[in-house]
Amino acid sequence: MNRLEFLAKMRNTLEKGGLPEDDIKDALSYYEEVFLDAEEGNGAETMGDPESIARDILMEAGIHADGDAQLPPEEIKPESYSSGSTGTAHYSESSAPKKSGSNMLLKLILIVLTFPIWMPVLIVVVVLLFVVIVVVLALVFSFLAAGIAALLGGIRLLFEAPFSGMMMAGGGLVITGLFVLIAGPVLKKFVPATINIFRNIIDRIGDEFRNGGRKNG
Amino acid sequence: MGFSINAGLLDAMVLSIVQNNDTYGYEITQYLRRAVDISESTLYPVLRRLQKGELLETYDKEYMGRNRRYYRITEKGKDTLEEYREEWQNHKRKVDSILMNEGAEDNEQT
Repeated sequence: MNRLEFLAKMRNTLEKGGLPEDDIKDALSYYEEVFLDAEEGNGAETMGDPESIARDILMEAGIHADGDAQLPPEEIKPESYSSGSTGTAHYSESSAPKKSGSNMLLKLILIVLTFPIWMPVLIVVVVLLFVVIVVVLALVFSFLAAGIAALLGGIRLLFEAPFSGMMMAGGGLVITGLFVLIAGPVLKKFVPATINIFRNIIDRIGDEFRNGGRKNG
Repeated sequence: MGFSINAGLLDAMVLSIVQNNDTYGYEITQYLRRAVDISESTLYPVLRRLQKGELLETYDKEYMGRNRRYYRITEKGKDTLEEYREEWQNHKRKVDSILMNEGAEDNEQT
């Protein structure tokens, strides 16, 4: 295995383990240097397996070898060298994950911080809903208006051109009739459905907040 | 070596090596290998730990067109090394008092 392969394998494992980039760079530059020195010395075969080296580094950083981060890296305490009168160095093990009671606060901060992302999305969704409502209502009323206009126009035309007038008035009646038959029930369902959609959205946002508060309360 | 080297002892040995001379990772490993069987993956965490504890500091030096990171012992590192040395003397005495004497007694008994 040459140096680049060795370092690539190490980086791969370290990245999978979620080690911070700075720590990865530090480790890689150390092992690159040692690798080069080893090549000049007794050969690079003493270097060992890059993946197991990387796993050791991850373990030292408090990350499980299988890639699950036990702790966010920034919570790792630097080992303290509290030397007592006996001179023994006590290594403080990296502590268990802190219980964060500020989870709710973090959530809120996250929501505020991600505002540039969710705000446009929210606006688009609201606008789309509004457009759909307006289009449906406009279609419905233009339907009705067209029907009535055709009926009235047809009746007026009846005196000048009886057959065309009859056809037009008939068309108007058909359209108006269709409106009464179809649009009436549809509108009756459409309006409450629209109101429900909005109510659901608002309820869900409210639930999210209440649950978040309860979980961490 | 049949005896395992614990982290404290390894720290002490590295501090001692660096106190003699500012040196770099590969050389430290070579020194350590005279006494203990360690792999490359052992030393790096030790050096990191000593750096974080501010017992060692680093500086870079050019060597053959590339970089070499040298380690230098800090004042805090020197103090800690002295404590390690005292502790090791105590430890060695205690172990010797049991290991060497008892070993002799066992031989007499058999």
